[in-house]
Amino acid sequence: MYKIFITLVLFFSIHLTTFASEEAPLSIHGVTTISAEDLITLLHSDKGIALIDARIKEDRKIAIIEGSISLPNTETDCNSLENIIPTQSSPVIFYCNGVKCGRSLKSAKIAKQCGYQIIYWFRGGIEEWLKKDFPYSVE
Amino acid sequence: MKLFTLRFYLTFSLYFIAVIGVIFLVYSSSIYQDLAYKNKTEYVKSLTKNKIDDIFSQLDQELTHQVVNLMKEKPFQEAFANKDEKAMYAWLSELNKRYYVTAGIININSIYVLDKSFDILTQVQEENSSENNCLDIVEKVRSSLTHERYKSRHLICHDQEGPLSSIIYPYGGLWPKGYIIITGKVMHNLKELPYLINLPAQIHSVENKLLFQSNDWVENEHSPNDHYFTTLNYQDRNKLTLFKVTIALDNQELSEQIKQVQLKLISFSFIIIFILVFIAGWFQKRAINPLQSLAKGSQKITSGVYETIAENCIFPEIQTPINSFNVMVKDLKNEVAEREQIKQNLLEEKQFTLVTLASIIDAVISLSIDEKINYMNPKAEELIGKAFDECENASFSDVFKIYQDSSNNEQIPLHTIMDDDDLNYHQTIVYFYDQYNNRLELEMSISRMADNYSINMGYVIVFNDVTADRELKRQLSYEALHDSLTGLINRYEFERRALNLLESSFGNKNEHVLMFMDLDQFKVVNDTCGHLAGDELLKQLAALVQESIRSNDSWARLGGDEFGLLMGNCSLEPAIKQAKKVSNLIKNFRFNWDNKVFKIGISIGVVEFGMDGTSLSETLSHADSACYMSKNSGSDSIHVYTQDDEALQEQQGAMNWVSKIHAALDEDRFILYFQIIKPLNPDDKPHGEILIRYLNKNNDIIGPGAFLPAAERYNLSGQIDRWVVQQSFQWIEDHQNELDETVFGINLSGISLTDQVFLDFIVKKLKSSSKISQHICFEITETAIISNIQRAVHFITSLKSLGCHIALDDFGSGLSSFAYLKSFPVDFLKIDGIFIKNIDNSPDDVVIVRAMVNVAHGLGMKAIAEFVENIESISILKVLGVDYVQGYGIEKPKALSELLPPNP
Repeated sequence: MYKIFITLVLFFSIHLTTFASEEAPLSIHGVTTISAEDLITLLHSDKGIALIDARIKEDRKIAIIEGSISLPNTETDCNSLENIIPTQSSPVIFYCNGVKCGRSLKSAKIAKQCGYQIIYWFRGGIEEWLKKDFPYSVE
Repeated sequence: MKLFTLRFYLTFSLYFIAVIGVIFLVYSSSIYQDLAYKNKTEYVKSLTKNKIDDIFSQLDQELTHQVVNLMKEKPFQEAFANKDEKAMYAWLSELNKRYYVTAGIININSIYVLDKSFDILTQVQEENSSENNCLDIVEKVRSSLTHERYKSRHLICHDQEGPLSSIIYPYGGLWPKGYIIITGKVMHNLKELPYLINLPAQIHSVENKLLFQSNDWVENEHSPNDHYFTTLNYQDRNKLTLFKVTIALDNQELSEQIKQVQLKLISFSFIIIFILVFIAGWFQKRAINPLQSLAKGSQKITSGVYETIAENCIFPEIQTPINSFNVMVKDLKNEVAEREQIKQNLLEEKQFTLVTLASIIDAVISLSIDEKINYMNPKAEELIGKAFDECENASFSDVFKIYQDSSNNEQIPLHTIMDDDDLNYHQTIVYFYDQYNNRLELEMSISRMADNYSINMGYVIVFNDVTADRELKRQLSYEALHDSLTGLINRYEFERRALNLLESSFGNKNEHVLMFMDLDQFKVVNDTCGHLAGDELLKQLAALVQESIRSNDSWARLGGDEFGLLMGNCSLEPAIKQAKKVSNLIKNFRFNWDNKVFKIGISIGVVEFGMDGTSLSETLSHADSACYMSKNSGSDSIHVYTQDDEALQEQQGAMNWVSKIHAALDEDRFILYFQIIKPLNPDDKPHGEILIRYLNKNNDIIGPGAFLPAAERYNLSGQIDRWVVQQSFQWIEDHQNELDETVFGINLSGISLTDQVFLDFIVKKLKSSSKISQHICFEITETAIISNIQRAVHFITSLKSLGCHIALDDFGSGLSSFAYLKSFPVDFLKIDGIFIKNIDNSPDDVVIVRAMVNVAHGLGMKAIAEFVENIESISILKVLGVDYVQGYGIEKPKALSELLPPNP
């Protein structure tokens, strides 16, 4: 009986893992995952840091983090990044709507491929931002 | 129902459970009621709180939205950048109005714009709005940490009209340039609460000021049972009460709901009770009833009623004992019936035994092992003259005093009788004195009663009163040895004593003498005077002789008129003297009877024995012979037996006549003789007498004197008579034609006269040849007639009627009673020879004969004289008138066959 139970638990946990895979991974190699507070700290410590909103433009009418630059992931490549980020050693932060969004992840990966060395990924995105009552803006 | 029965307990438990169930249900229904109210209240409160939370949340979002939008507005941004308070105010006022009109969802109370250092740059407030505390929110931001400063904050504050929701928002994002505070009137939104919860509601301030009341609000006073109320204190995150919400709940609906549930519960409980009652009833029927039947059945058994139980129980625990009970009852029934039968049988047997015991003539007593009386039958009671009740459990020896010896007065203890041996049965003769002090001889039988294990249980004593028996026995033994008439010893004892003497004389050759004596003339006394006289005579003679003999001699009556005298250790000489003495005594004795005097004689035969080895039977035979000899020699004679006694030898030959007579009758060794009886008157018919002779083996003719006495003595004379009659009749019949009118006298003995068969034989013969009867004259002696006079008369008349003649023979030698002559229709009177033999020399005989002849003639008879031996006698007899003469003087007897001349 116990073995059957264990088997079932394992079975379901595998499936749960599968569903969870729709969420973004907790971290990406070579990319630093940050929270909303980290983001504020980074923004306040380095005014040259690039905050890239990886969402489509339409999303920005609902809420944006003030000071963020819109670069949807679909449009992200080494060239578009080069326009925003001054150097390859300049820090850059990507965010999108939230953990299920995936756009910021993709953009971060592209940035990584393009050779940017300091990449931050605000995994929680707008969802975490609003939840924590941080001020937002709209376009 | 009886208390404390299984039924009681079962029913009680079931009802108890039912009652407990009902109580539980009632209790649970009341709990349910409470819970229902509580639940409902909690639910409503929770619902209300959620709804209010929603309202606040929605309001906050809207306010945030308004702030974000406001910050987007260019005019505002310009005014703020320029710190143009007036422009800001004008724009805010415009905005406020706009919102107030258009929003609908929110009702903004005031807007504050603050710079970085939280100083109010400008503020717009609703007209007539009261003072509020909404600026307290500034402190929340001011006091918060770095990151918190960038966050928007909410606060619920108050003014006099009610709660307000305020929000503070950093203007300029992460790098705030200032703050905007906007407050909205919550009441505007809270008015929707009654619709949201669908219940009438009131909202009060903390100070209990009514802020809002729904249109359908009800007052408790009007219908206290219809509604009930609950109040929710709405608090902020710091547990500070902001306002109070009172909700009216519909009591009826809930109580209806509760009632329905309670009804269901009650119905359910009734169903349970019904089920329990049904179960109880079912149990009662299925379990209790069979058990009760079982109990009743068991009770019935105790009162003797054996009934099986018809109940069937589905429970094997009950059915099994019922089945066992039924089997038991059947067995018991059979057993009881059997026992009843046995009891009945035993009772009958007991009754039978008691009746038997009561009926038997023996006294029966049963004793316990310690010799106490358990039972006595009526005979035993009679024996001691006490009832059983008086003697019950008394000691046997106290009640029954028994003695071993009639002379010894020492009582016998019972145990000594029984302990003599180990036998279970003991019989003894004891003596007992009854209540009248009569000494009884009792035959006492003691039986030990043993049970199945041979353990002694007591005794049964049977007393048989043998007093009379033993007396009788003594008497019988006396009578066995004695003659009852004379008291003398009898033949048996006489012979025993003789044998004793004979045996005692073996070796010493002692002499003894034995005598047989036979009375003469006794028969005359007996016949004429009756047996009484004869008996008396015998008694007197016995006593007479007894006196004359020696005391140690045995004087015995041997039978009839025969006596015996046994003289032990006595020689012949004194014995003969004694014999003579006896002879004389008797000769001189006169017997008187009925004025008649009789003279008696005695013949004595004497024999000496003991020295020559003769046996007793020989001695007795010798004595008999001697006596017989003596009798033949004449009255009063004594004959002593001697070995060479010729006469006795002859007589002894006669002793063997019995067998010879038998042989002679078989072999026709008898011969008929004839002697003429000569008529003195020529007119009379010729007459003769048929006589008999015996032809011995040497062809010697032997006269009747040799064998007729023996025949008479041994009862053979009848057979001889028959032979003679048969032969004579045959001869007469054969020669009838040659016989003229000759009459043949045939002698008949006394025995023949009484023999009816013989008479029938003669009658038959005579009838078959009727002519011969005139030739027949039966000669009968006077004594033969007298011995049985009635039969004799019958005999005579029978024969006379057939034409025979009858002659009275030997008249004068016996009784010679003229009286009898009258009764007999006799034709001839034959005068005895003793009167004729010497008639020529005896004048007395002449006188007697004359008298007899006269009598005969007088009675119409012819007189015949016998023993006529000479011519002188004939002439005298002729003168005397005698009709016929017979004797040697006339003619000697000759063979009958010689009577007629042989045919040529």
